[in-house]
Amino acid sequence: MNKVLRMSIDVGDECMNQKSTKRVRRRMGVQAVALSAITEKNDGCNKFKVIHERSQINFLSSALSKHFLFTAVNKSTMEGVCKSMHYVEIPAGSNIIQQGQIGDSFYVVDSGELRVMMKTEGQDEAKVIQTLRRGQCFGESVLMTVSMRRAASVRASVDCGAWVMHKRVYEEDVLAKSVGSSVEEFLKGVDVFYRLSPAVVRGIATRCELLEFPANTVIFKKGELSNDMYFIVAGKVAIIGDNERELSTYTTRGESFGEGAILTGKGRRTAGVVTRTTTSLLKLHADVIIKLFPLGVENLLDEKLALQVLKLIPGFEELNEQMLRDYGVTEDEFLCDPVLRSITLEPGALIAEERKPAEQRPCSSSSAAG
Amino acid sequence: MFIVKRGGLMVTTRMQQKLRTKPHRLSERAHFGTTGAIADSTYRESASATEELTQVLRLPATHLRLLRDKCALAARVNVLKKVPVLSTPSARPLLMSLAVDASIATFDEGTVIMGDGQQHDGKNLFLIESGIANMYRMTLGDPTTRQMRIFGRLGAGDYFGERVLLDPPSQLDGVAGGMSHSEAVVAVTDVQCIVLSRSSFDTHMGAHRESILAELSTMVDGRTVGTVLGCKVPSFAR
Repeated sequence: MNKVLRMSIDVGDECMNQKSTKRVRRRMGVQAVALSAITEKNDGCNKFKVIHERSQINFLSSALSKHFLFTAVNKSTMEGVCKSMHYVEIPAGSNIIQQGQIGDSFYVVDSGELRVMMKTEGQDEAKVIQTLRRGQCFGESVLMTVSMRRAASVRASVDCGAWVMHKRVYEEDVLAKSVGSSVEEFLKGVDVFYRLSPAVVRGIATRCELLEFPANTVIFKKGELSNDMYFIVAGKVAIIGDNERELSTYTTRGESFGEGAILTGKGRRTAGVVTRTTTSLLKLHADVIIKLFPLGVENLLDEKLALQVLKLIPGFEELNEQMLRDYGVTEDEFLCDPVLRSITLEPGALIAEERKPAEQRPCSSSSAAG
Repeated sequence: MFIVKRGGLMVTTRMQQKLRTKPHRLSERAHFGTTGAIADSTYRESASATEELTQVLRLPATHLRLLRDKCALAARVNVLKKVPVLSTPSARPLLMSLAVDASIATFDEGTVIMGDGQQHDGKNLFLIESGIANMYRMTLGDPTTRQMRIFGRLGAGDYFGERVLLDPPSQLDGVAGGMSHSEAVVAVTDVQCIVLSRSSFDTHMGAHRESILAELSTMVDGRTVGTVLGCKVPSFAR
């Protein structure tokens, strides 16, 4: 019984709702007994393995294989991953994960109904963005990002059951065993993705499409509806503005274009793109990116912009992503506030006044991206 | 500092307003307030948004200065890497701590930087950042007719006094060290150097001295350390 209680505390540590904590623990204790499943202890980790029934493993592997992070996982690995998951019950009305908190687990819904709620800056109330039912997964942001911060809250609307996977299981079993593809190696070198964990990069790699275009092919025209972002693998493309005027050319491996479609959300191209030489491009659908970083796309592109601009300033030639990561974009220790902030201004709004000190933190209508 | 992400900024000063000169406009990807942010965290000019939905990225002055310092350090590490002794696999990971300790020294035209009983003798490695210096060496032959002759000219990227890094401290005692007492380096123009002290080298790399030397000799593939360094630094040519 002692062991059972320890397990329940272990899995219940992410339940934020203080009122229901007592109830959660009691219920989970009962659940563990009902499974009579505690068999072995992982060396030194104080985690208990649960033996699952065949039907449960089948259910979990089919649910996981639909998730983009697990598409490349083979059958035997998948079974091992499923076996290392354990069960947790979530009472109605409690938050299993809380936006902004640091977490370490990924969940698959077994029964009941949960609501994904996200609060963006400037909104008083969290908005329900998705409802999850049996077979659906949540909490993948901790597997994908280095910061392991929750991107949204998930609340049970009725009594629910869910299977929990620890981040370590994912890293050791899934990541270490899958073979890196050339697309993945390429993506690791793309500066937009430098802040992501290998897990996300692998996830993106499985969703990318490698395309080859002959010279002088129009990839897209200005004003076209489109949802794709492109990365240059090799070759040269030109950005075409109004009246066929060439605005700039991109030749660097890893450089991206078409990100505007993702940022504005309208999906209208602001400029056209034409290949100049035979060009290999990696095409990534906007949905993948939006799903990967529901809050963070803009921040990633902000960093890219800041890096490019700063590098041109004398004294900053040696600047690299690592330095920006250390000093530029990591969150402020005390205020949990991204250092690199995006501020939207009204026409005529004054952001800086001559001979006035640069304020530490402007209180104007700023929208934090991250 | 600010970086314009979308839209534009109108930049002006009070003087320009008085003189009614046209304010200039910053478009996308331009930056504003960098000089002031680095110097003293005050703005040199006023800036306001010109159009609707103007977006700027803000980077606080403190962070900008931290980034600048980090870049300077990285640049210094790159310079240090040019010295063969410091580019061996054992030495490379320690370069950052050496770079933190390194200082900058400037010498006026005509100053004897090293040799002739100077205070720096035997204590420092010098890497020239800018300026030109002459290296003098005593000629060989009859002691009565020996004299100091210009042996080589050192410019940006060259270094001297590196023997402090190679020899164990005990062997250096008594030698007017880093280089022999029959040599001297004199600034021809104003010279700016990165100075790496022997004590800092002993602290960070002293334990690895042997492996650094071993790696250095394998790196040069059979030739002696002196010959390799001699290509660049005359004091090792003998």
